[in-house]
Amino acid sequence: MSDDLLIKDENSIATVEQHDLFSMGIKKLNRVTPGNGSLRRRRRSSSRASSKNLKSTTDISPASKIFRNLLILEDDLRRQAKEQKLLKWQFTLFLSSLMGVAGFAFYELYFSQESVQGLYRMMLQFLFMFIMITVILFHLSGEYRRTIVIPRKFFTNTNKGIRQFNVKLVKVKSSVSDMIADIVRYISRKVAWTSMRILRIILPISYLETTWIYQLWRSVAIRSQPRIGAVDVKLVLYPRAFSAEIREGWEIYRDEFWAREGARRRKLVNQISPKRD
Amino acid sequence: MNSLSYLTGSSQPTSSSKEELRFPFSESSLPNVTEEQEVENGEVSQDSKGGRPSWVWRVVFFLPTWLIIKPIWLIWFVLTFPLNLIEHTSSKDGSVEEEEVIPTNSQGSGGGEVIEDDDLVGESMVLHEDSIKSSRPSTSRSSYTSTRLGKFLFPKKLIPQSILQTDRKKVLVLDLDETLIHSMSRSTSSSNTSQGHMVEVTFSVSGVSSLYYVHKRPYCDLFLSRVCKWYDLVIFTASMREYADPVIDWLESGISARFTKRKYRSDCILRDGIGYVKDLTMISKNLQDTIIVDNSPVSYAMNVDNAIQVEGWISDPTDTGLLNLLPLLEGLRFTTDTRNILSLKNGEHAFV
Repeated sequence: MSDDLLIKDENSIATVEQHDLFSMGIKKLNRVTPGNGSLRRRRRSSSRASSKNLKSTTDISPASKIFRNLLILEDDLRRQAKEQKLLKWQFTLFLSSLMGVAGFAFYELYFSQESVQGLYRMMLQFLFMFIMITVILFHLSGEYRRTIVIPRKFFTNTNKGIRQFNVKLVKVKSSVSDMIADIVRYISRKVAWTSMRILRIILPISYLETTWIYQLWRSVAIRSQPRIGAVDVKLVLYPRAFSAEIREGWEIYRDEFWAREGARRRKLVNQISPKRD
Repeated sequence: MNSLSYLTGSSQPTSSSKEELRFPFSESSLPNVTEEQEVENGEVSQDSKGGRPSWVWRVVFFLPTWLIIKPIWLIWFVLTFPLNLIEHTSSKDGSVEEEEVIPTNSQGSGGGEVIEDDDLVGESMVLHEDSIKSSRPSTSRSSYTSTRLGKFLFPKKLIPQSILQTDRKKVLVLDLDETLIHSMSRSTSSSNTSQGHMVEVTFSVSGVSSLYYVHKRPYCDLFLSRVCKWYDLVIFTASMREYADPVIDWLESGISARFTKRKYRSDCILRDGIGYVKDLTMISKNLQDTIIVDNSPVSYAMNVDNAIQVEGWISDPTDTGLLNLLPLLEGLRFTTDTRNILSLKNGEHAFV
């Protein structure tokens, strides 16, 4: 299963690149290869490039700098969006469960066929009052606004703030198969972490590193890393302010960066199970 | 995925030597079973000196390993062989090229410029126009030079270490009137002033004293208390010191932080027919780490690329101007150069 995921992931990134290459139709992507023009020399270019004097910032094109900073901004906005979504869900769940209990108590007290008496009735009354006061305080203290109203408007508010810079934050819809893969990855990651923790407790440390089961879970944990890049939220440049070339350049830059980052992380798998040459 | 997590390397397992980390189900372990057993026996004798528990575990795991796991693995290996083959051949390139990268890194760190390294050492690519397929109708730009965007450089780390590790915050310059607060003198406002904070101002020159009602913009306290965690706050107002000081004191009382600097009308540059212009270089020489939030474009006319414009506020109680800026400001705190983002307000001119 984990092998499947790994292979799927590599393929998906490859298709992203290919999609960029072919969908544009007007451009093609060439890696900078000083010396020879072979397409697959990726890393060599870096060693060459860094041997040149790239330390001075003047060598870097303004587009590259802008895109890099946009990436930083986008990544932080992605984190914020995730954080706000979590906040919203947590407190919606909290409030709705409170209201559910309160509704149950209210029904038992006043609408139930058999009248409740004694201690049970007092308990229900206390519970109802307690929850009502909690909810009112929650609203009055501004927590309701902070945890539910503002997170719900996160995209609207953010877009109002960044509109003057001709960028827009949009949600990315992921396909059903991607979502299934995400869930499978999530579950297998959690399972792997849990079993690694258990193994660390029950097994002696000297024996841990060589145990096959520990190695297995470790490789599963690495292979089921979450997808990275613009999978949920992304920044889009406004078409009326930027030409198609710049917008495509930005998309390419982002996809390329995250593809490289993903490749860097997946190299850890090869470190754990090195291929035999 | 948050960028911080991989920068700190938390997701990486502790690296140890490759022999130790060998995946136990790799292909090699299948054919030479006897060798493995010999090796295992040898290890057992070594381990038994060290401790008894590991030997016990080895016995416990022995039967399931050879009776269940290894056969299953064999079947799995046979089934996924084609996929493994593809993966194997594709990753070969990477392993060869990896060796070429390593010396580069050591050179970079040897130079003592580790902090700047991650900033700039990266891989690059250039967008080229496909001359064959350029069937697009020629627009205003007939040449459509492909290298207009220049070479793309990919940083090794998204946020450079120099920014993550430093304690120095970026500087956020805030305007006072119509941005954070709005004030009315008593004579002009007859009604609806009871909620405002009263500030008495005595002008030293004329000796005239007057009373102002000051109102905070909605979310002003929330804005300031959030933003002071990310930035050093500076107030730069075009109003007089006598008026601004009590107002700033009042603002400070609502939040836990202090404004690091206060600048007044005397620090502005007066341009005839235009108004007071604020020069950011007198606050910080590092303009790449400076942001100004102002409602009037005249104020930041000298530093347009550092400015975030916010709509002027007078009395609208449902205004969310400050709230809307929070996500942007939170995202900008890790950028290498704030001007790169803020200059996007000029559209394509930012790229030339």
